[in-house]
Amino acid sequence: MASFADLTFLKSFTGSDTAKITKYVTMFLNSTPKCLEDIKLYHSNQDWKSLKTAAHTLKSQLKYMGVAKAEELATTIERNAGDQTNLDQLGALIPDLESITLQACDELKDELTKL
Amino acid sequence: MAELSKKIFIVDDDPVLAEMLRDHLVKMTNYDVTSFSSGEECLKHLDQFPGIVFLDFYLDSVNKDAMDGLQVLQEIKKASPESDVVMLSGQDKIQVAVDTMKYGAFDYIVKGESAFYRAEKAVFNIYRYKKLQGNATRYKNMSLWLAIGVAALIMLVMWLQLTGKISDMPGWS
Repeated sequence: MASFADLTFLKSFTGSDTAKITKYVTMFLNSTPKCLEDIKLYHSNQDWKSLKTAAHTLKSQLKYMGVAKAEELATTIERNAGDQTNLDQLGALIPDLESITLQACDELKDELTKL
Repeated sequence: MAELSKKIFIVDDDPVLAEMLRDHLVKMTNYDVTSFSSGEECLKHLDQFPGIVFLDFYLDSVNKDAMDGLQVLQEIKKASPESDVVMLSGQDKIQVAVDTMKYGAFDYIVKGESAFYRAEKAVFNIYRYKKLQGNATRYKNMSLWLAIGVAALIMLVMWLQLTGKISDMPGWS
């Protein structure tokens, strides 16, 4: 199975402090489902400004959790919603973002048990 | 010189980034660091005189009606002009950076892996800048008092010459 999350940055940033890694990953795991729900809701409501903001917030968190593929998708969603261009692509990008992010969340939960 | 404020505020509605930045600054500086999830909360606590405020550009991910970073920046500069504001943003658009500087931001940091190191550097740069500013004020005051002293001495000599008292002084011819 492909690995989506990479804790290299967090380990380097914290000096492999497991308490801090656990704290940041747990915060990410707690906030991500709501963020994904918001993204789907704003897309169905065609609320592009809110969609841009939600994708922007998720993007920076994905960066620190090393979820590069989802970060790229969030960047594209943020740009398309912000510029209101290629909006027809969002219908495909958002399910991909959700799927990869949720798989990354499962991996991160596993990582927490190994720390 | 006024004591440099060792208090830092972080204003960001992204709780993960705010916590990571708070932990990093606590570890790397000896400042007291407090974080707020909105600009409105930060403004309520400006009476604590933060020396530095790290302020996110977008603050409306939780509350759609929240003030944005530029509005908060302007309010901080009005209410607490001594506080230096460092803007944080996920975008590296030059115009955004220029706008924030126009409203008095000290620095602009693009969020990313290097943002924490850059924030730490900003703290030291601000500290050094404030110290230099304090020294410049002190030297300016010293120069002013020196000039007043010299002027007073010249006037005294002139008065002594005018009144003829100076020629009575021993060693004066």
